[in-house]
This record gives sequence, C-alpha cells and structure tokens, in this order.
Amino acid sequence: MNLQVEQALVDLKSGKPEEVGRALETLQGIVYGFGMKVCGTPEDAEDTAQETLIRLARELKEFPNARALAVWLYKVAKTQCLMSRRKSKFAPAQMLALDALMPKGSGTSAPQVKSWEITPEEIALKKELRSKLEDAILALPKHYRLVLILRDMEQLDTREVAEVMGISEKTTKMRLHRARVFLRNALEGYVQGSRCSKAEHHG
Amino acid sequence: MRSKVTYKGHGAQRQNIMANRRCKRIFALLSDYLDGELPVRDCRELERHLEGCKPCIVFLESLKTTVEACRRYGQNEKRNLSPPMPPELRARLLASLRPESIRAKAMA
Repeated sequence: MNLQVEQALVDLKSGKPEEVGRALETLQGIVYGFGMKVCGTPEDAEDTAQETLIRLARELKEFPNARALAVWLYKVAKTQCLMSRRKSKFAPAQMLALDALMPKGSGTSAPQVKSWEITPEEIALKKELRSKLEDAILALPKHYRLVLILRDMEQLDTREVAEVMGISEKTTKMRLHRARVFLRNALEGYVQGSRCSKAEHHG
Repeated sequence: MRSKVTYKGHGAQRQNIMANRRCKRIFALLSDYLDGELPVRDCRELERHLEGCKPCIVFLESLKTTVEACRRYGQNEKRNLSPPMPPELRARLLASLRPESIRAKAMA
C-alpha cells in the first residue's frame, strides 16, 4: 500500500493533470476498498471515496510523506464510513471480553486436538469461506472492525492504526487481538463440520 | 510472523491443571507474539508454556491462519476496481488540485 500512496503523493505534487488524475484514481481505489470492507455496501464505499477525495482537494493539505497522507486518508475515510450508517451493516457497539472469546473445552483431561487444517489458500479460493469471512467482519463491533481492517487488511502498523483511530497503541493491540479471536472463532464454526475438528481448549 | 514452537508432550494431569491457569495469560499475548511485538521476557514465557500445551499451540496456529487469511483477503480486495469517478467530480477535483489553485489557497 505504501508504494501506491508514495507514487500518488509524487503524482499529486507534480501538478500535471495526467499525473494528478492518476493519483486520484489510486487514492479512490484505496479508499473505496477500505469503505467496502468497513461498510459492506458499494454505495457507502463510493460515497466514502468521493467525500474523502473532495476533502483532500478542499483542504489541500501539505503531506510531508506518504505515511502522513495514508494516515490522513484513512482517518477521513473512517469518519465518513461511520457517518454512512443508513445502508451499512454495523453491529451494535459492545465490548468483546477476552474471557468470553476464549474457547472452552475439556477441563483437566488430556485434550484430544487436531490441527486447524484450513489454509489461507483455501480461504482465498473458496467463495463460501470468503463470504463467511466478510460476514464475520461485518458482525464485529465497529471499533474492533476498523482496527482489524486497518492492521490486517490495509496493513498499517500499530502506531499508524492508533493515530487513525485516535487511541493508544495499547488499546489498538487489545482491540486487534479480540477482533482476530472473534474472527477465528467465527471461521472455526464454519469449517468444523467439513474439514476441521474443533480445537478443544481448557478454559 | 513467528511461531516456531514445537509441542513436547503432555505431562501428568497435575501439570495440566497448572498449565490451565497459565493459558488465560498466554491467550492474551498471542497476537503480539504473532506480530513480533512481544517483549523478550514474555516471549520466553509464552514459548516455554507452548512446549507443554498442545491446545494453545493449536489455537495459535488457527489464529495465525486467520490473520494470514485476512491479509490475503485484503490483497485480493485491492485488485477489485472501484467504479469510475463521475466525470464532473473528476474535473472539479483536477481543477482544485492545479498548482495555481494550490498557490492561491496558500496565499489566501
């Protein structure tokens, strides 16, 4: 992502119509993709991308580097996504408690466990798993969902995610872990009957 | 991502009960461990625990797979094209981002 944003910043600063146009398309693609993951609807993703670019043009901010541009873009896009709730599916705001997410299992007996057999390749290939992943993301409370998307899908680092969200790095990590476990549990339930045995865990 | 711990087998039931108490603490550290953001001391404690706790290893593997799936999904999504920008909006943005517009704004 950073390479794309870096090139877009160079193009924006050039002032040449063709290059500025290319930068707008790149940034639109990034924000649209983010909006799709967060909001789950093309209409809200498109609104998010357009409103973000309009603000970019209106504010004409100076961005010293690609990182600053990326953080600004995601921050504005995040706010737009949260405002476009009329179509988006947002799970009710709630806390995810780590204890509740921890799998319960066999108590003190020696656990019989099998490896979690599903591979990332399978997830990429299987439409139904992709759909399950999308449903699980949309089922996440919004503040967990945003952190997970920014960190694991947009691949920002912890500090950048914290800046975009306006929270501490510690809170970012806490939300990220809970969101990942929530997703892991959601996917496990789906594949349990077909390829995987439920990994038992003493709780 | 780091997670190269191998399982060295279960001990007596008593050891399992002791391990159970530690699982909750270890459970909270797994994402930091996968991201390579765990302090060395916690990292050693976690790896020692994993050597004797297959459920925690299995859970770690499944968490790692989930994170990899998210990354792959994110990369695939980037290839999806957004719909073209409406021409009038594109023209408006290009006009705003002309060097003379930027200079005028800076002087205002």
